[in-house]
Amino acid sequence: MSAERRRSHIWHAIIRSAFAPSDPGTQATWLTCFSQTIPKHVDNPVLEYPRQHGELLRGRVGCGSLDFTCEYEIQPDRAQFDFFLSSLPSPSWHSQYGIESKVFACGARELERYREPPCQDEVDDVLCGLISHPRSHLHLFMERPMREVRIGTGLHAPFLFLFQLRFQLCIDAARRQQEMDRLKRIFNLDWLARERAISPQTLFGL
Amino acid sequence: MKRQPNGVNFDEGLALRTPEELSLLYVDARPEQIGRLVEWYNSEEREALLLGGQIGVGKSTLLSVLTVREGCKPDVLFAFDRETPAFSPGGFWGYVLGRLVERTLRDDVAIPDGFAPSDCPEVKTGDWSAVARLLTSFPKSLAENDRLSAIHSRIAKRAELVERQCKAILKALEEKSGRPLRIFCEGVDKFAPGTPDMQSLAPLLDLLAEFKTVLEVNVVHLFGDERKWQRVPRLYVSPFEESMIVDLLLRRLGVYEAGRRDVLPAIARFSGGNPRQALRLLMTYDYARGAKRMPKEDAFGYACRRVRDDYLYLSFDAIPQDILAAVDRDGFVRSGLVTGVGLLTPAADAVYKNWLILGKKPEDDDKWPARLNPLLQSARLVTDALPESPEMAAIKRWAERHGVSPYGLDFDASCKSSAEVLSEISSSSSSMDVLNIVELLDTVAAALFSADRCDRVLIAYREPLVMEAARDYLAGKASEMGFSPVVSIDLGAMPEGERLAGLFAALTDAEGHAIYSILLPQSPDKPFLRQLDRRRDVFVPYEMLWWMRTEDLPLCLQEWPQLRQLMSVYILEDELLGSLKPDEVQADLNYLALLEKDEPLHEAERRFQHVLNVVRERRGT
Repeated sequence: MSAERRRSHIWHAIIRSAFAPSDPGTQATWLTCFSQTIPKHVDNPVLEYPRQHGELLRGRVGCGSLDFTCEYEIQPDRAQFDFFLSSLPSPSWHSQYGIESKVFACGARELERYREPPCQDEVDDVLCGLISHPRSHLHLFMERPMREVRIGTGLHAPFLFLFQLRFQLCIDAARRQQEMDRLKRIFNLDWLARERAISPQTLFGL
Repeated sequence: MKRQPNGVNFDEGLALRTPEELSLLYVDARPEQIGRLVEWYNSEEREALLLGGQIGVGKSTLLSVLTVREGCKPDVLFAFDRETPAFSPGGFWGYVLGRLVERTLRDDVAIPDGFAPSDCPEVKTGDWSAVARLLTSFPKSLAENDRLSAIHSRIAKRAELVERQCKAILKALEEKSGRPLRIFCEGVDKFAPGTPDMQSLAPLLDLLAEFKTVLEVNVVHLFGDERKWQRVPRLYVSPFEESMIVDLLLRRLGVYEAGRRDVLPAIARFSGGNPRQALRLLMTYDYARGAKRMPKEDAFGYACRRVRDDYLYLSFDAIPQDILAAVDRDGFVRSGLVTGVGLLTPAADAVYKNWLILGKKPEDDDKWPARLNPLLQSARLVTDALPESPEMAAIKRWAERHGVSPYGLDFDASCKSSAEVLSEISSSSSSMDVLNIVELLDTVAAALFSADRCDRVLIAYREPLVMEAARDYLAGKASEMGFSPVVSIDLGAMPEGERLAGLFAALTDAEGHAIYSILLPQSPDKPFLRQLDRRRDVFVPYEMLWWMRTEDLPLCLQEWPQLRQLMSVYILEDELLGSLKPDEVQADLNYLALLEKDEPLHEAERRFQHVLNVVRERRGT
């Protein structure tokens, strides 16, 4: 199996085990853990605790010091993320990122298990691509380009999108490193050998 | 308080205390004053020193630098504002005696004759150590409060004896150590001249001024020489230079300075060189930009207005307009106007409440450079000389738009008669934010639910039912976030004389997990409000929501020149149904229903259910 395919497998294993809560109860637990850690991870946070309207879960998260707020709505078949930036000329201008799960995309697929065991470096590379430095990403601009902020990934997984957003809204390099180190301890080779589900409490360090 | 090494460090302008805080956030703007303090400390001369400055200028932080960074530790520390159990002659003497006894026990020095443990039958063990502990701690229960009050009465009756005893202890301690004791007195600044509390405290300060004591005082205390303690050498803490304010704010912003850097000169200008005012302006601007998504100029105007209301709002009949107009015209205040025997003169009151900002100490002591607090001035006058930049242009546009009277106040006496000024002031209303419950939550959430901050929010209400719904709604949201417990304290339900003790007995969580929701009594009496004001720094470690009736707000703000420095003030809208819709509250409950609940989440559920019932009842559904 090529390194590329091994990493693809790890990529999807991480998403399946930690970022794909299926039933409403697990989703709510995930969002509760997410919300409770925002004030610890994001400086000057903007936060609205999630609510449930029918099948829809709605909340708000942002970083006041980056002039950035995101309102999210997650439903079984779709999700949307509205971005508000105070630096735009009018408060009514904003952009929306949508995820429509029923539309085909070349994403998650079942891959055969690898013959050669992967190494931790490969897991770390995957975490980098998923969380800290997505291949395709969006920067924020304040008085200067905030190139530290790279909003991306989660094309198929709204919860992954929220998680990496939480990561990106902290631009303190030291705390980012701490968070990545923490994630590397969770998604280690031992975990990979069994691919156990990661509880939201474990994922968020609660 | 937990600090972020590279991130944003906002608070309400609290003194920096720890080595970590000083190394991260302290700006060395006053090397000469630190040098003078160190020199005083190292000298073997038994000489007292007054360290005086206006509210929020950084006196307590200077003392921290002296002790923490320079290693000049006190032999005895008195924190009169925070630690004295009662502001009465017996309370103050008892506290000083208790602290000195603790020191003598530690140094193994014999305690001279005078007041004795046998004079305190309320202390069952009857030893000095237990008596000292009682005299220096807040009562933990109403019964303990009663016991302490009885002892204080006995001490007050024998004040001269206790004074002689304290003096003898200080001399014995000096003899033992073979050098003058270094005594630090914090919090004297909270006691305004002429007040009954200051009259109770003054004899102790006179005694301590005979020793090597540094006293932290307000600048108005530097003007008098009525008492012995005021006639000692003085060290004045002047406002910061604007460039230093900018440095200070940059440190507070850490790696997030990019979007705020350009506004900092304007904030420095409107701070008047007062670091706390600067920090509050920055925090409020930041909130208006980041959370409220306001354009720059509106955000800046919002920040100026909010901070003015929190810090400087006074009932209009209390404004010393002639003095403010004269200072605005002359650029100085005559010392004679600030000096007075007894209660504060109008000029001293304006200095004490930061309406006037004093400049550097003059050569000629008669004319102190002074100016109006920039938040009370015409914005155009303040911004005229600001450097050019797009951000400054936006703020100047705002100033231009609000040029004549940005806050409903204009003291330009050259254009208007006093009567005209007064008429304009009287016709303008307070611009305090009137918020509905949802807006209130939005506004206080960043501070109240922060993992690192402990803020105090004051909410005035007209309609008790709306207040109760708001209280439950905020408590429910706090419980959802894991802040637990939310402790409700109804001061109105306590007997008048026991409110303070009841409040302190309830404050048990200094770890920042609990939120205290405190309901003030209707028409609170002034002595009680003043007690709370002097105790300001006791509340620093606690996350608090204070609730009071709107009609009591002017009196509270009038009586809280200190406490209001650590509060944000909001008015709760009367209308309940316009903001809080049943389906929104139901959505909160729906969400909670999905979760496995621990105790905080159960609490949240109970609170939301109560709110939902109230809202439905109001709607008649």
